Amino acid sequence: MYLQKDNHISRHAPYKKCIRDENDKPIGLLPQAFEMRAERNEKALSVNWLEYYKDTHVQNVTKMVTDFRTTRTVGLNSAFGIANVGELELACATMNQTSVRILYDSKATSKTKSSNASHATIIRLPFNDDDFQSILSSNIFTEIIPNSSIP
Amino acid sequence: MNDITLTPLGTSFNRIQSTDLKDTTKSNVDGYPMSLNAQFSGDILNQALLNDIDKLFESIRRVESNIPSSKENNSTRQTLDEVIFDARANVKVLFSEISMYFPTELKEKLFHQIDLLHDTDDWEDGDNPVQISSFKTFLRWFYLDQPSQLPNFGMSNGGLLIATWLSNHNKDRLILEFRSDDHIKWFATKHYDDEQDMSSGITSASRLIHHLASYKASDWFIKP
Repeated sequence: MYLQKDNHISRHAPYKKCIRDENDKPIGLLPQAFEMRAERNEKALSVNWLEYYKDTHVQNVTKMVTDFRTTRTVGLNSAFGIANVGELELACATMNQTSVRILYDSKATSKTKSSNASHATIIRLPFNDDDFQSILSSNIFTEIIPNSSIP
Repeated sequence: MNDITLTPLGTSFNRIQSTDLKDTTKSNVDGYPMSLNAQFSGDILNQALLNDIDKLFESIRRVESNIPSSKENNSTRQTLDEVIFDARANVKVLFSEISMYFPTELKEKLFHQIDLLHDTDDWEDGDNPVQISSFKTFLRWFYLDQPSQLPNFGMSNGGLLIATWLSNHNKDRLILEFRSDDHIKWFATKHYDDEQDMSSGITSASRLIHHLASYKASDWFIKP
């Protein structure tokens, strides 16, 4: 199913793809955090759906991060960028990409037997387009949660 | 001329200070002192700078010839830890050999962050360690434009070194991705009252400052 416009998604970025302030604290995600990997033939960006957890925003973030950590190693200095689904789709639409959606496929997620149960994907984004990567970095994934801030 | 003079090779790095900028009467693009825009052809200063850089890269080539490549020093497949260790070591060795041309603070920050950029806890399949060719482009650009405000560093999936500067309460951002063969991709975001101006593109190390001219790049590059 496609996520509703008032929902939220998060994207993980390692230290090397974070914009950091003078104290080395993450305050944003680099445009390069939204690169798709050609060698893997990636055609969508992996994200996590926060409302999957059906709790408050803060609790949703905490539960998502907790789940995410069970699926892979997550560096202490990494961060999660949070975005609103409607804002993302609107930003893409203003750049003539009206078909961009965030897809949550519960069947696909359960098939992988992954504990990353909230996994979703941003689909139909232009492949590694500088303008889109810049918009996602500067205007869309603007709420930043340092991994170290979640116990 | 009140402009910043070139640092003779072999002496300590002469960084641009804000006082230098104030004293600069012959500034050009974006109010930069000449040393930040030395690419203007026909300028005596320009030629001297390029001569310096040629010598700098002779030094780099000499150092590179002493760095064993991962292919050469290995008949068996390296582990990820070994590949990463080699990449980190190679850029540090390279920088150390020519560190006299750069500020001490750059070495400290770069070495610290190069280690963090290669955190194996955050390593994904397909990630590449920092590429020497990207690092060389960074060094050449830094030597050309001499920003007194040091950036934070990042790295792309392909191992391209990234440098970021912030200004205007972290709202305005300049992100440079250093590619091979002296090419740089830039992402600039600047706010003018309620308006946001964004651009991106690819240029050469020597022409970057021209592309940033409309953004008052000194807000990023000159230490307040």
